[in-house]
Amino acid sequence: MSKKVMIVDDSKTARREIVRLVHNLGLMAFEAENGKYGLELIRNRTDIGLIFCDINMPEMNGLEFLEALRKEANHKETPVIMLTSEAAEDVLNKAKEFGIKGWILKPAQPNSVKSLLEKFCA
Amino acid sequence: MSDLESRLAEILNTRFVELFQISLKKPLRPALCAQDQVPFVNPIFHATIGLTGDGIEGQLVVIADKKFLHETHPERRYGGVLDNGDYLDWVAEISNRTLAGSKAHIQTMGYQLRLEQPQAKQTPAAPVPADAHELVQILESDGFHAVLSLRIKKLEARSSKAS
Repeated sequence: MSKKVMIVDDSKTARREIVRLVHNLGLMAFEAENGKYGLELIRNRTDIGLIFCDINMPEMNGLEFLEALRKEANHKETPVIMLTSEAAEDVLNKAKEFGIKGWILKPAQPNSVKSLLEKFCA
Repeated sequence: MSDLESRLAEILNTRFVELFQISLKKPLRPALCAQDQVPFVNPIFHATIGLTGDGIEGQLVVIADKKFLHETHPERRYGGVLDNGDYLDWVAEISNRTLAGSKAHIQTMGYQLRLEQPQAKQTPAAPVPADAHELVQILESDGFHAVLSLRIKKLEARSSKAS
């Protein structure tokens, strides 16, 4: 069975850009508008193949989400791709410490997202 | 307008225009009118995001009519149905992407910005700035408009860094 995808972003527009591409590949997506809700949604799941996560969010931002995610037994190594509008070196270096697999600059390019989905979820 | 303000406005305006070049197939051009004469078509959506950092203080405001947001919304590619909540979300995301996408360039001017959450609203009329010095970029496509308004309250000279 193929893995599922989680998109954590406070912008519905940004989430839908990714969800469209996930569905086009016949995969299933979960959406969360902040890190706190995202964590609740996937805490007990073991079928998450890839997480796309925004950085600047209310409630729990992307870095806080990553830190909390890595403390979860099921998600110590779940692949994460950061979604960002800024190539801020300090933020991305911090994210790398939590083992992210890379980042995508918004707006997400369909081919880049498709390649990642095929690599981690197919 | 000081040189510093001009540089800041140029960075933000460039990013603002780039955002739409991807999604908008129709020509996008600077509007030939003053901000208070922009013929917005109701309803109007606007988003405000703080421009905050050491030596810099102000706001970035994106104002657009519904048709402009509809034409540029990423969901349009898929023929998705959009409602006013989607337009509010999109105008907020435009302000966020404009500022976040400019952050690294603004950093070369010596300012370290702290990104905040944008606040979006739907109103019958375009918001008017109170007392801040305002710089604007007005774009027009097919008779519909978007305005990028940069409201500067403080902009202190800094040592520029090489990019």
